[in-house]
Amino acid sequence: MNFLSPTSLFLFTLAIPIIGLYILKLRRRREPVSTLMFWEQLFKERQTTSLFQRLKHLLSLLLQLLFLALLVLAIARPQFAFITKSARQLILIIDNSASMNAVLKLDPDNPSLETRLDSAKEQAGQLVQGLRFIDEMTIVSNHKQPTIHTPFTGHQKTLREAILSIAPTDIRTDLKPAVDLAYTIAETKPNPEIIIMSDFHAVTEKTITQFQETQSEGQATEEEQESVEKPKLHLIRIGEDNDNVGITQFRVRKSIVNVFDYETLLTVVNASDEEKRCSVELYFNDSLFDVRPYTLAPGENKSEIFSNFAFEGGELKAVLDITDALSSDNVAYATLPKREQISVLLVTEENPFLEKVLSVDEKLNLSVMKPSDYEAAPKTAQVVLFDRYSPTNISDGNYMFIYPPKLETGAHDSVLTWDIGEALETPIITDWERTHPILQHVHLENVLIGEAYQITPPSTAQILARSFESPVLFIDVTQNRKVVFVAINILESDLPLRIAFPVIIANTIQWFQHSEGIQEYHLQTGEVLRYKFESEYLTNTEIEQVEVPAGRTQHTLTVTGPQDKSWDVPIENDEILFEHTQQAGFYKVTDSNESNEEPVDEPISDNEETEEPKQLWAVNIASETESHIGIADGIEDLLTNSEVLVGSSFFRYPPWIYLVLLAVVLTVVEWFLYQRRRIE
Amino acid sequence: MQNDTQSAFDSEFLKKLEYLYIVSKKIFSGRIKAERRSTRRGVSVEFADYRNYTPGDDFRYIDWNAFARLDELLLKLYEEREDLHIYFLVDVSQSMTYGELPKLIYAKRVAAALAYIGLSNLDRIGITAFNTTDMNRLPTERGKAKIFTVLNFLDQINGSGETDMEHAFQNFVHQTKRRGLVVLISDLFDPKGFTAGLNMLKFQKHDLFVVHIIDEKEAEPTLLGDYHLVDVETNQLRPVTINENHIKRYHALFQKYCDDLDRYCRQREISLVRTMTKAPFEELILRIFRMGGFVS
Repeated sequence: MNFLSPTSLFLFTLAIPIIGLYILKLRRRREPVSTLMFWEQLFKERQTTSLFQRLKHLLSLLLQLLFLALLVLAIARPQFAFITKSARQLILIIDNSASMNAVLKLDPDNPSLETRLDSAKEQAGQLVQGLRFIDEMTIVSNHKQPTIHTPFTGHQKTLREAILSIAPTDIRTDLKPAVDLAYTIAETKPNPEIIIMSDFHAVTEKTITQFQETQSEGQATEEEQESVEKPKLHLIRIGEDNDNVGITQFRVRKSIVNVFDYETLLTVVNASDEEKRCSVELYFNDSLFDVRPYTLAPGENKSEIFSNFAFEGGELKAVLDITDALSSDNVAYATLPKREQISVLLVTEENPFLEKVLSVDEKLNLSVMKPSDYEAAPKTAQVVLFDRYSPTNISDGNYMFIYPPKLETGAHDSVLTWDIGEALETPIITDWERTHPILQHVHLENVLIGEAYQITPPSTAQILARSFESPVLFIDVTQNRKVVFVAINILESDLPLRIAFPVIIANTIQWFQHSEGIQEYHLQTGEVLRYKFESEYLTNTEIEQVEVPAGRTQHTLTVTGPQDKSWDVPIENDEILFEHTQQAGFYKVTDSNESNEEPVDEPISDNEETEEPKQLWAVNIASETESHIGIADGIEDLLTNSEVLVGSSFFRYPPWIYLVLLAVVLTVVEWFLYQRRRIE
Repeated sequence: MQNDTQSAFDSEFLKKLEYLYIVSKKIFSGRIKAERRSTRRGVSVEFADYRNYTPGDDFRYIDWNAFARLDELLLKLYEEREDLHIYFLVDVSQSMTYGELPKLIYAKRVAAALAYIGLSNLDRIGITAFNTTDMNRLPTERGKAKIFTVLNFLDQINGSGETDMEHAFQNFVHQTKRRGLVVLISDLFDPKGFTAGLNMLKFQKHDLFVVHIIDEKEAEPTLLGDYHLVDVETNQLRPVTINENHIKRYHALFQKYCDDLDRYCRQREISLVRTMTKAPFEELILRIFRMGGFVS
């Protein structure tokens, strides 16, 4: 036994004055009374021998000395080796993934709002309450990036606050990062124990094997444990198997058939053992526009694609009209971008066919330019068509060359790496790639060609159409550049008079635009939102500048998430990276219009918006495994009852508290004995 | 002694005596004429009975009307009127000196007041001051003028000795042949009990009137803690440690003692009045008047 404050033992010298005072007998006061007969009668029952009187006297002294001894020992703070040796280092992992938002009991007559996460927090609180004074605990939430909410501490208030700070998320369950972190921490601690509170609905076989190995090692003998110091593992299951139906996919993409149209994929899964009837309500900007009924067999998932939307540029929302355990997967979000016009520049001396084809499509913003003006003009068009003209160099972008002239060697850019050869006499197109998007629905048989030349495409090119002698149509795709090369002078052919001509032009424009997908505006919960924009944007717009502590000025944009929660996110390298996408819903990026004293990247509440969002993201759970909220196979045998962990322990409090309590009890006993005249 | 420094009979007391006498006159107007009916037959105006004439009887008491009707000589008998003897037995044991206002002084005042009223009513008054060993007696006196003799006697007695009522009353009954009203003024703290002494007086056919005087500290002691209790009569020491429970039990014991005394007196038709020394003695006298028993 050691003492934290051994100098306090000198207080035992206080026994000397106590004994001294006890030796000194108090002189009784003399009180005359008219008769003793009542007093004699009163004390007749309590006649005691002188020996007993002395014992009473001694007992009183002993009680007081014992009281002093208890207090002095309590002040000296004794420590027992066998207690300190049994100190546990607990790593508590609380799963706060989307499935933990499922209600505990699904009863339509008596709906309960208590979720699995609430229950986990409550059980965690009981664990904290059951901690002994020597135990320490750290709280880790099972985030995509596991978060340590408090370092190892035995301070119960800190631990309880850490537990309360764990917020529900809509992030897909992935226990592995948190478990790996816990094992890493456990390696550095003596007597470690890992406690995982989760519904264990999505645990990989590898993780289960890891659990099994740990638990089998935890049952090893004490000697073995001391040698390897493996952590004990306790798996506490939260919640029970409940019925659930959820939307597992809701995404918008450009139509494969028509690049200017969008189509939406919706998948609904029935993750229960019964047939479910439900309906999906589709909203655009909070206005209901469609309701689709579904009848789903147990375990069935159904997918449906919606297209030909009559509207554009807004929020799409699918709501599953059913009461089930997990409500967060009953709503899915998607963004429907605006159909923006494609700017097309036609560089030609004169080509009425091309001009007509391009001008009839209302989705194209056509501008025509003479070749002599091209070099000096700003290059802002998304698609540039060079008709019988070739510039000396081209930047990144989408280009279509139609029968460009042969340039002198060294006069053009190194990117224009084709080699134009001799002219061909009435070539016939013999072969073409019918499946390529540019040549879909196109027939090039018997096209009369009056003027063409041989061409040697670059090694990276893909030939789409060729004659006997030479390729007549190829594409060359590099990282930021798409080139379509046509080795036919269309004015000297009957191609403009065929149906294939406008189809090829339209297909080419679509093919150019296919790379600009909209998938990037749909994220899974927990994914990083990345928004990149043109560098001119910073100079042309008034973006709020925030003083950072280093004295630099930092530009910020505001991201507004569900429940109007907003964050100021700094712009770095013409982009923002936002990682707080833990809740499913819409996230809008806007300019920060109000002055903001908060540090960068901190949440701001009630931030009013006055502008249209620059970009809208839809964040969804989008995980079929998350909708299956039942326990995973193979883990039930590994579960632990949380009550076992909470179990009472005598040394829950430090020894000095027990000593003080004993002293208090002793005081009560002494008071009782004194009142009963058992002691004097 | 308390009476060394505190006189029982000051001028204020004498004024109160006269006041009490006047009050008693009003209360018992027409009933108390210092006369008391006797069981003996004698000369008075109250007819009592007839008896047959025997030679030698006084002719004046023959009822001639009865002789005319019955032709028989009958002698008319009348109740005899005799003086009432009131004996005051005043406890002068050491315990009577206890209290802020010693019980003995209170007893003296009560005795003096009642004696004055008795003398004023032409009763015969005798006072006996008793303790274990001594018995001081004032022979029976009659007439209002004798009040000063009574006061002097009472003024001279001091508290001393222990209480032994049986022994004291045995001496009293031996020396007092004539029955009368015995007024016992005492705290009745006799270690042997009060019954033997009172029985002694009752068996001698005395009318008994008990004035039980107690001090407030005896009824409701306020002692708490460690004490050596000293019996003022025996100087016996008793080391005690008193707590609230003891005080409660003391109250119970004292109340039981008083209840026993009340029951005893009620069963034997003994008038009993209990007073505390803090109560004005004239109120006690008036209570006694209202109770009756002192004079009938």
